Amino acid sequence: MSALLEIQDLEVHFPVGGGWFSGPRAVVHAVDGVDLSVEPGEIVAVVGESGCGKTTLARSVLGLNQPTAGTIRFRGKDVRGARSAQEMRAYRRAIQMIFQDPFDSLNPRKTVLQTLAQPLRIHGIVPRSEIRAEVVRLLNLVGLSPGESYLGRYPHQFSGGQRQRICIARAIALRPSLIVADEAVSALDISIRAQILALLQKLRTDLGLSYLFITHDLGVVRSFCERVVVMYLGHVVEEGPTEQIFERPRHPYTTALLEACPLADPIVARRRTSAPLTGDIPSPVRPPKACRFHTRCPMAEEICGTVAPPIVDCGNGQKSRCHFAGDLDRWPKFDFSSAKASA
Amino acid sequence: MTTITHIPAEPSWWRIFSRNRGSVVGAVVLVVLFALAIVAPMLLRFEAGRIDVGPSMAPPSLVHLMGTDELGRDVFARAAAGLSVSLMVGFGAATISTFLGVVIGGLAGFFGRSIDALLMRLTEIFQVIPRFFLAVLLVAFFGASIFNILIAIAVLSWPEIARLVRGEFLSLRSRQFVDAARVAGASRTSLIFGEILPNALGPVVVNATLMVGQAMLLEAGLSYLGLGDPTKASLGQMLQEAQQIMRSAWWTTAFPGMFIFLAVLSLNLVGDGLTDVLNPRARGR
Amino acid sequence: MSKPLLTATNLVTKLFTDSGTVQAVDGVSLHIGHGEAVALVGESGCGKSMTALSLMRLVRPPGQIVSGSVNFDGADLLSLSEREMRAVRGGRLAMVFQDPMTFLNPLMRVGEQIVEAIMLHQRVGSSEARRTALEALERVGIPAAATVIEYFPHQLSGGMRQRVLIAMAISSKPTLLIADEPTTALDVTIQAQIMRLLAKLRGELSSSMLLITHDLGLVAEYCDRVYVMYAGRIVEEGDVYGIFANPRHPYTRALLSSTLSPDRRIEKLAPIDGQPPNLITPPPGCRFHPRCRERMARCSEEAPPNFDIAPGASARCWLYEEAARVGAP
Ligand SMILES: Nc1ncnc2c1ncn2[C@@H]1O[C@H](COP(=O)(O)OP(=O)(O)OP(=O)(O)O)[C@@H](O)[C@H]1O
Ligand SMILES: Nc1ncnc2c1ncn2[C@@H]1O[C@H](COP(=O)(O)OP(=O)(O)O)[C@@H](O)[C@H]1O
Ligand code: SF4
Ligand code: SF4
Ligand SMILES: [Mg+2]
Ligand SMILES: [Mg+2]
Repeated sequence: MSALLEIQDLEVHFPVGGGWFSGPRAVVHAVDGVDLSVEPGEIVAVVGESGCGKTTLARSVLGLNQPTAGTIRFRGKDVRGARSAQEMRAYRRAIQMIFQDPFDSLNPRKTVLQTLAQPLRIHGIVPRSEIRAEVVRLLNLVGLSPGESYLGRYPHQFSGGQRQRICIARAIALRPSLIVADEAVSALDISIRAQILALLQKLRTDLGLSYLFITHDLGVVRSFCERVVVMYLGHVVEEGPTEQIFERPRHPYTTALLEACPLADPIVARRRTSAPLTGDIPSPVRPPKACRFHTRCPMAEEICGTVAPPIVDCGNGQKSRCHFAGDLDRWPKFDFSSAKASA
Repeated sequence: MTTITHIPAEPSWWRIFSRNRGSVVGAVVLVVLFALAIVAPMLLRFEAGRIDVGPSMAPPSLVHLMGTDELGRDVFARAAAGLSVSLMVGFGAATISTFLGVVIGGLAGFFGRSIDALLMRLTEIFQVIPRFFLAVLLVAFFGASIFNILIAIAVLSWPEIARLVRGEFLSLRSRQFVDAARVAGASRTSLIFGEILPNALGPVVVNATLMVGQAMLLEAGLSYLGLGDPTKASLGQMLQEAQQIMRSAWWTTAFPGMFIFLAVLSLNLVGDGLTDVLNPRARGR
Repeated sequence: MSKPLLTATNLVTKLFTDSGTVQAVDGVSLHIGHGEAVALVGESGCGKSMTALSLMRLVRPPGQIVSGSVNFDGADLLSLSEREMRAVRGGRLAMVFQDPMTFLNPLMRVGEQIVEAIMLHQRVGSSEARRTALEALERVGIPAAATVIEYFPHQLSGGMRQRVLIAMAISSKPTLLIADEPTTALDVTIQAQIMRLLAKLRGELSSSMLLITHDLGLVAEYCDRVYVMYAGRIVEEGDVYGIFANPRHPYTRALLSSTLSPDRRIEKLAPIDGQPPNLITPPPGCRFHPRCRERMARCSEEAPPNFDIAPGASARCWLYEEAARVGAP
């Protein structure tokens, strides 16, 4: 079994501040040694609080920013080693992206036809004479039908949900095998969000897509994704199959996220007793030493501030970066109604 | 399948423009001035430069609508001709400086880093030099032809546009739709000309409009100091020539002055209106 | 049942814009009891914020309250003078907004802003006001309040800013706090902190809360009673357990089935089609009919009235005409 996308030890650092002649004053450790893989046909969620490096990770996969270190392999080939323009083009085609803000991700001065024709034209997906017909087909595919009636319209004439459909059409135009979706449904209303998720589900089966699905909404993760990667301050702190992570998290941060997540059930929600995580996420300019979570971790002990925790294999593909991940007594089955796992 | 429940009507650009009364007035005045500059020399009874077409220093009358000057030239005919020279300098200089500004600012904003640093230092140098002073020097050095004046003004005006364009490019290049085009495989050229530039053009057009007025004023100032092109009398030059007789024959300065004033004012008003038209937010949603 | 703290009756607020009249709040009636936490839930653009602003009389042009009445603690708010209203606002009736940055002056230290707010509503000297401010900041869980008081708003994180705004709101010990999407811009862990804080303060001050949100999860956890809003109208009312266990209005059901909660996995999503209508030309009859799966012939012609189904539970839907007649005394 070979992974579709394989990221190893990825580091993306941004120098900030500093003058023209002096060096950078500080370095933002946006992504700091991330391993991640996506199998063909899989939906992998990346979750974590804002600023933890999710977008930076996504942009690196798309080649929109340069990694400081590490490798990104697609179908076994090192992407950064892709010397020939042809290889680079093939890679570009195979990985597409859906952006977060449907009001910012379409060029306001282009019609739907112009927007969707662009990738088709650049990569010569269909002969020039058939571009229009292909665009109509794509529009119908994403539920904007009849496609013809949308061709001449501009983005501001559409609602958020419709725009996101156009963005999805643009993403599938190149017939990619992996789509990176960065908070693709977060800005949408509940009923529209469900529509878009259903559409993505349908497209996955019909077109055999994989998704790297970035979100902070654990409700969406549970119903939509097969595997979860939890990030905190540029690190992956836990990963594993969705059901396993939700039923038996082995990292205090995952537990804290699950506890904090609102539940659409008054009886279960009111039985929760745990206290929420205290404090804000620390600055990625100077992340805490050793375990990065130790400043907020309810389970922290002395060792946590001095020795970096190893990555512990918990079986079945679940891994956790915590000193106590292997200590099974600490990790009872997680129950939303008591949320006591970390106590 | 989703059904289209509502497509907001797109207000025409004229509707947005005409919400602003002043801009409409400005546009009308500007059109009249243009018509005057182009048509007047063909229709008027008197040739602009011809002397002794009437008595010397005759006040405005039905024959000479704006009177005559000391050489007996028809002020209206001269002012119309001067207006066309001034407008030509104004629009010419604004076009060239906008082009320079867009290229330099665009390169700086798109590439950033050292290219940006270099180009912006250059821009700053041009900005700290007193504009008028440099114009005087340039014209004095290269000679006072209308072409030289136009170039001098253009060379002095681009930094403003360059800074503006750089700012627009800097913020546009990290917008999601530009990233989306990158992901689609768009080349650098098509990112710049297809995605970023069209969206940066709004404020540039507005600024260029204002710059036309500024260039006209600058030219008038140069001419007033006697640095105008002696073969092509602009409005500024008329003012300079009439300096001595301003008190006894007010019409020799008042009408050319009024043309400059009207042109600059209407350009500013039109600029205001264009701001609304070109700002997508003013289009409702 | 004792007299409610706030009662709004047939509130109508419209926005007179260039492209037409927006019927943002179209005959909204609601009440909030003493000590009660009430939710106003609906999707964006349905009129939740305009409802809140109408209750606070903070509607600005092109918006205007057209008709209706708001009774708060015995006073008819809509007939008070602007001066009397200012005394109520920020006093017994306070509000917390979604985006704290728009309500904090970026050029003023947060301490000064709270002190100013306090001195506007309470007859106290500046040193007394400063003490109250510190107390309020400590109460909302800001560590080292004495330092934070010297900060400018941009030096605070989103969660901290929201705490400052809450501190301002509670410094006058309001009897009703209106919170308009107070946590929408925040991360889940910070959201949990803020929501717990609001719940705790509500207990301490024994005040009431109107929570405006689109997140049914927050409603489930923190509210006693729920109003569901769609396209400018309240379509269902009920207590929180009833709404979640037995939603009546087809829109409420659609909303619930579209909500993904982390405590259960839904294999196949079954979303409803279409999108909320624009409120300049809303659909005739029942405003939900273009998207409703239970639509009947009359739904597109006659707007259903509010049918009382059980004590404290009502729905604006023709499906309940019969039930209302049977259930009526
Ligand atoms: N200043 C305004 N001009 C024109 N229309 C407005 C204005 N403010 C609000 N509206 C319209 O009034 C309706 C209700 O708006 P409101 O802000 O109350 O919705 P909401 O439910 O709070 O939405 P959101 O969750 O997006 O804030 C919407 O259709 C909105 O577009
Ligand atoms: N171009 C950049 N320059 C400096 N810092 C950046 C840049 N892009 C991202 N960052 C910083 O990196 C961290 C991670 O950012 P991001 O990946 O956008 O987080 P998320 O998507 O999880 O919200 C944040 O602290 C952010 O401010
Ligand atoms: S290593 Fe220590 S501080 Fe880090 S998550 Fe585990 S218990 Fe918490
Ligand atoms: S009144 Fe008719 S259309 Fe409206 S919600 Fe009820 S059944 Fe559906
Ligand atoms: Mg992000
Ligand atoms: Mg709102």
